[in-house]
Amino acid sequence: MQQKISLVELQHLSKLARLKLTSLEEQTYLPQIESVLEYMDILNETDTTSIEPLTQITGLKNITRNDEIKPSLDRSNALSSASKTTNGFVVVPNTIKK
Amino acid sequence: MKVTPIIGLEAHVELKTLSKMFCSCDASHFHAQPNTHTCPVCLGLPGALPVPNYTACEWNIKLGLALNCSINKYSFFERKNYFYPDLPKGYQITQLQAPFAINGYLDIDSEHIRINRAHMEEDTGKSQHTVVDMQDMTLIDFNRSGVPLVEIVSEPDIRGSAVAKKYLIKLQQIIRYLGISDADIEKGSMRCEPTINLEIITNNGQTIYTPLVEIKNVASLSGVEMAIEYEIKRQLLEWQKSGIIKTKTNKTTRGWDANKLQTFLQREKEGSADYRYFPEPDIPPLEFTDEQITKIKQSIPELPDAKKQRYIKDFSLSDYDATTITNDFETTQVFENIINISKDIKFPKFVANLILGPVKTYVNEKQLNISEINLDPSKFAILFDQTEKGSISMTIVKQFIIEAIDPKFDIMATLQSRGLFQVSNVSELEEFAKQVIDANPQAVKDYQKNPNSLGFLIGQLMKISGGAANPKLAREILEKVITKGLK
Ligand SMILES: [Zn+2]
Repeated sequence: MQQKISLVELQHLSKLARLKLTSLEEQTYLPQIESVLEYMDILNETDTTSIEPLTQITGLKNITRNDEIKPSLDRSNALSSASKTTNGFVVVPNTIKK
Repeated sequence: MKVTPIIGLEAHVELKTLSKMFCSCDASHFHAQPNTHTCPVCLGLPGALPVPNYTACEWNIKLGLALNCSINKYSFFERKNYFYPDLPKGYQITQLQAPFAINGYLDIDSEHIRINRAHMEEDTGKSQHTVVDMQDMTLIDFNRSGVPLVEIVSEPDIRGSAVAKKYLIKLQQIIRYLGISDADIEKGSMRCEPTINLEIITNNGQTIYTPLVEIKNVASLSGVEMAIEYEIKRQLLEWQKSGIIKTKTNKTTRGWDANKLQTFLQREKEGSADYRYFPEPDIPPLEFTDEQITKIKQSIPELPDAKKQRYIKDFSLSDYDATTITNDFETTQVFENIINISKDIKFPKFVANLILGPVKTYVNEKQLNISEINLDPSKFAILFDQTEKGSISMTIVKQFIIEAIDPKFDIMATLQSRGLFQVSNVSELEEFAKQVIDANPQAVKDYQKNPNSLGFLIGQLMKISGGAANPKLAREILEKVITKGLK
């Protein structure tokens, strides 16, 4: 049977998702994702020719707000879940590669 | 060999709404204390629900219409997924399949620049790089996170750096006329990213394309121009050296170094960008009716090109003067406010000369904005009337319009007290003329042989009038008295 997802594709996906997978994990997830994609094949058998594509399922539309300012979070509260802060900034490792 | 640059421009414009795009935090972030305008939505905390700012959507449509775009009556937001520390959710809410505005254009001189889209999205947080505890660190301020951003994408229709600059200036003017953003490149409320490559027709008739390059971090209009110029030269040299041509995957990103005046290769992304866009499930689609779109269209003010043509047609301004005034929206507001006070057809031209002359010089010297100074229309009217009567010289007008910025400055009283009224009274001037003619018989004879020599006699007349004679009238009267004698 033809594979639906290759190891290279899995590695690409995990990289995009910032996940570091061990080769053991890769071997575990590969068949799992494979079976999810096989399930999609079953869904694909449904005839959807007369059905409009859907981009959302709530049936709502035009949910907007007026342009008004409401109070923001207190800064100490806003920063409380950051692992490192200084002078009111969130600190992260340097993003410029030298 | 024939080399043609192919340039497309992406411009990001921060809207000046009061609140952010998907939450009610204050959208102002310039000089605000870091991380004081944040909430669960713009910090990307789990469970937060984004709700679009209606004004921002409306302004995007307004800009789209001003850029001759079609409006998608049905549109929706999507998620663009990537990881970066200034993007707390791990995705940016933007538009891909159904942006608010598509297929527009701008005409720059004779060039027709097509606009692919003007879509709505949110800004990211702001990073700055520094050293903390002897380590290189990046500091993040999320005040800018979620500020409404419109991205305007041109087609690759631009063929040179000068047109690119003109396109950006025009875009900036239209945005400012609409009052939806300051569109200030230096302050970052407008950001431009040119994408450029070259079409080269070689001597043996072969057409090749150099690899695409996107230029980032250009923080001024002249920077855009210089970066494009640099890149044209660099790509040509690079091709001559390596022979590498454009493929589907060899697009690179280069930064602009404003000190060295050159572009430099930024870290190449491994593999092509893979943003895995999908419709934003938290925000229901938006539908605008024809009536709503018509109403937005009607709210668009007269735009720079139309205004310029009207100034030329209705006020007989020169193309140059009309262009210079309409380049800056605030100047048009000041100009129109002043000219409303008089119906005289010569008044607008008079006002334009003062605004583009002494007022502009003054504002530039003081580094002020023209709307920040007090230009009282009635004072323009007084100076205009006195000029029309010939009672004051243009030198005095130019000086007084600046002094009159002080609301206490009384033009008529000062003209009187400083003795600056010109003598335009005909009999007084005739008396001066007679004295000059009597005292200078030789010069009168010279004039009768050579009419160009009248200048000397005018000078003599000005002298005995103590500089007060109206020079234009003095000339007319001297000519008349010499040729016809006194009546
Ligand atoms: Zn917020």
